[in-house]
Amino acid sequence: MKFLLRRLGFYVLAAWVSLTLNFFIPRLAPGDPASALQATFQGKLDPAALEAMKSAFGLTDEPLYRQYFKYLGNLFQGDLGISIAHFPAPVTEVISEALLWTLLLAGVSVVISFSVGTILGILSAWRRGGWLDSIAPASFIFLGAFPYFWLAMLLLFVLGFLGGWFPLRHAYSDTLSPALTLEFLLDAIHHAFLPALSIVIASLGGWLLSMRNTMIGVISEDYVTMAQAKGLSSRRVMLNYAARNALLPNITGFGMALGFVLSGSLLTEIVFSYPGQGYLLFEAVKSMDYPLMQGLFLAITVAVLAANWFVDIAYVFLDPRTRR
Amino acid sequence: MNFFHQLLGNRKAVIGLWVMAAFALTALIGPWLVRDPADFLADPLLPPNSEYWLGTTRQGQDVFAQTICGARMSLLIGFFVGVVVVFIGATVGIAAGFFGGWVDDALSLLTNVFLIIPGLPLAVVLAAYLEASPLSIAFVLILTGWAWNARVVRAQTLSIAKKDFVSAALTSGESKWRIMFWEILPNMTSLVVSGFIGAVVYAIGAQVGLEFLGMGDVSEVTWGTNLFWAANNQALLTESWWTIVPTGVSVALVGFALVMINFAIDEVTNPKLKSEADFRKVVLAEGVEPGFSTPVLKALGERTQPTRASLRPAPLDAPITPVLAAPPAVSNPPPPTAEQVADTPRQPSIKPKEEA
Amino acid sequence: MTQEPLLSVKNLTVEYVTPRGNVRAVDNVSFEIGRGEVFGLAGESGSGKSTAAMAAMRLLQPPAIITGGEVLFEGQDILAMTDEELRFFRWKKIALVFQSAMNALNPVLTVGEQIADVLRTHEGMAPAPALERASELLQLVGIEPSRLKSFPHQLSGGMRQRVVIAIALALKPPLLFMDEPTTALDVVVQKEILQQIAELKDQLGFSILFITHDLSLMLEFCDKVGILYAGRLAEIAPAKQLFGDPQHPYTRGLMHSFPELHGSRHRMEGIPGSPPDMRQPPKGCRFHPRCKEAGPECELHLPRLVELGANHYGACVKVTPSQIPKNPQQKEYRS
Repeated sequence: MKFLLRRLGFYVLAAWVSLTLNFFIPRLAPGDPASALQATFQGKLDPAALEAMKSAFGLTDEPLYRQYFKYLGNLFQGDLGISIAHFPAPVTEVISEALLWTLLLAGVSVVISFSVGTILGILSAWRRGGWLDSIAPASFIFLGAFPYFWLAMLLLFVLGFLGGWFPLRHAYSDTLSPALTLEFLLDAIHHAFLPALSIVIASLGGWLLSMRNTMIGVISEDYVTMAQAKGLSSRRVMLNYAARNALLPNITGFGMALGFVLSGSLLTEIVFSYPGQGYLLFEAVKSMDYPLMQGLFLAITVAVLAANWFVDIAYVFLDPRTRR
Repeated sequence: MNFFHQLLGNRKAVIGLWVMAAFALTALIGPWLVRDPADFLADPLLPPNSEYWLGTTRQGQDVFAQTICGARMSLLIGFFVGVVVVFIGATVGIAAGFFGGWVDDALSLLTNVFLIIPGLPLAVVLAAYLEASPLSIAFVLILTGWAWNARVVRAQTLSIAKKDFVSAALTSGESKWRIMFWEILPNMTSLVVSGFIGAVVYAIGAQVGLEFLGMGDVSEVTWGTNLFWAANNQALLTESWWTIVPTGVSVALVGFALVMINFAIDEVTNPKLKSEADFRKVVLAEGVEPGFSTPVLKALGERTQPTRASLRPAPLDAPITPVLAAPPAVSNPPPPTAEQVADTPRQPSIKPKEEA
Repeated sequence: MTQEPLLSVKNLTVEYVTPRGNVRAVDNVSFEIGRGEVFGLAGESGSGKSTAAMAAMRLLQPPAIITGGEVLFEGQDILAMTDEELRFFRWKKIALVFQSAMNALNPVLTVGEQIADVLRTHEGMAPAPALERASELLQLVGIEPSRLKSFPHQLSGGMRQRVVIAIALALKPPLLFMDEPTTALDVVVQKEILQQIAELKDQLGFSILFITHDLSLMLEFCDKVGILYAGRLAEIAPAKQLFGDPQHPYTRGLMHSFPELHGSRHRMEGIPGSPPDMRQPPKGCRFHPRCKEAGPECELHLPRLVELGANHYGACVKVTPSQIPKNPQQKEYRS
């Protein structure tokens, strides 16, 4: 438990660093941020919205530390300001609508690609030089060299546009509205299939390779030799002795790579106009919606930190040495 | 420079280096040999033809020229970011690992925080407030990309700092900075090179991603803006695949070539991988499939045992008689430590086991 | 009464594949272990003692290959077995006690699971009876059954080593390979564990191949001892014979390099020089560059193992059978 608390402390610290970065970045930009905002949005924006935005950022004439505490106070009340692109909806509301879609798409894809990649890594390390080992790592590394969104465009073009087997955009058909019905679920899966596939294809190679490498290291450990000496079945040696141990460093790596994979999946969302955080980010960039961008940054960071903590909990279950 | 020599002897490294050399040359002189990539010079969306090898964009620009010219800025930024990231990563990593104590605590914490904060959203926020230019992109990529290298270098420094030559340098009163960069750093050439390559791969990928989002200077011709315009111009709906495929394949080829070089570095610096490959070759040459047990290659042994030939063949007619047949003579020269012998039972118990 | 030895290793040769050609780590090593016997294999680190034992079980990892010899267990050649045959053979017939129990135990499985999986695999036991049996085995080595649920990191070094021994005994194998089973432990625990092994051996009647670099332990523990140098057997004899009357200059050097636990503390002489680079072993006798008694003839040929006395064999041209009490039919031990 001490382990989990220590990790939690670290995530809180990381969250605080992100919040602080978020506060200072606009102020580091050339010129005075308040007047820069004014200049940027003059005429484009309702003066009331501009005022709301400035106050949300704490962009007042008060001293910096007062601004900072005001900013933190606003954050804790869930106030991230007003979105410009979705005016007058508050940023929190815009983000929370889209959060579920991102969590579903990215979450499911990452879990699939991690599991499949890990299994392929185990198998190719176990049968070094076998047919799987000579094909899988190289081909997935090659696929992984393509930008996520580019693979997404290609899949969309070939399977969606030319083949016509998959919808080209959105998370569900316009004719349906979200509901817990079989029809809706199937429709949502149908829509998520291609974006998920492109995330899986693009990220699988990394998991495969790192699992393969740790497996190769673990296979030369004494306890694996001992398992072999014990005459256990090859499967049991591979899974309970080698893979169980090789998985541990990979779980840690999984947590750290989450942010990276999530970044890729955000770009994928854009290609499919998938109504998640990535698509919002794209909209925010297009319409220079600073509050939305910053809110997204915070929301995604918190999501990644939370996911990491879940990964830590899984780690505790897998490694008895952390249970104290 | 043994490491670089070995690297040049590795097939993967050679392939990777040739591909990179080809791209570098293209980036260097290519732009002078092709049409102006920004010019609207032909009909829009021409498919690849003899005049425009990779077709034209919706604005009638030459895709081939755009792909060639895009290489210049994309590779330049990629390599520039790689160099800076490695420099920062090595400095922070070595300092953390070498100084230890609170320096290590603070630097490691900083490194881990930057590792865990998702890069793209942070980059977007940063880039949004900076002037859209390649330099801003580079700055953003450096800020979001340095941590991984620092972490890897720190781990390596910890193990090197324990070595004798470092303590020797410390005792002889060399300055700490000198030890860091003249004693420790040269001992991780391969790590730094592979970190550099990893950083370049990251920088190119992330740069393309950011520009695809529209964060870069969209009037500049780079691989990322090529894709940004292609997407903006509904490349897929107009079925103009040629506006996205050349750039994507270029990005992937560069990435793959760099990863190949990194694999090669791994093979060269990890003797285990190398010897396992040799082992497989030897075993397969004997017609044996390497399994999970030590292979028995007697034919190979017969061929390569010169020492045996020089010996008179001796029949195996003198097996060592088991103790059972001739129990250890207790009357032998008195054992030097009789006490000890008494501790453990000397007489083997003769209990043949019933086998299942 | 002639009885077939339990394990008979004949001309075992092991090589490591390296970029500059193969390196021979074990070179024509032969020895036999009778039922109930403790055979010791001693030598400096790198002499090939562990390699020989692991090769006999076909457990050496790449890039090791076995390039010659036979390893007969009750007449059956282990070197001719397939992976599948080996799987049923291992642990049932020969079990292994590793040097470092910390590394030999799987850190993520409980002690109970690691004992039980042997029983479940080989005897087809159901989980519950297997755990039941596992707790008996723990008791056999003096550990409370409540430790079944412990993970290796929760046990002390001595306890871990006992667990490893319990696992080794799970199937009551007729032969145990023990690779420096107590080296990683402190002296007191070491003593306790050896005592326990000896008791268990009496109780269960297994044979042991005991590998160590500690000669005083050898003497204490083994019936017969083989001394390895640079992958080759230098001398092989009943323990007391070997210690009372060592013949090979290397063995004599070794005797002097270990302080005796009891008895006068005479000067530790040691052996000057270091073991040869196995990539380029010296011509002729492997030991001659370090040998005080070496002459020009030592560089000419690899000495064969010849019988020097009753059950006493040595591989040195300087040592002739005439030097020790004669043995009418002098035989050659094949090397």
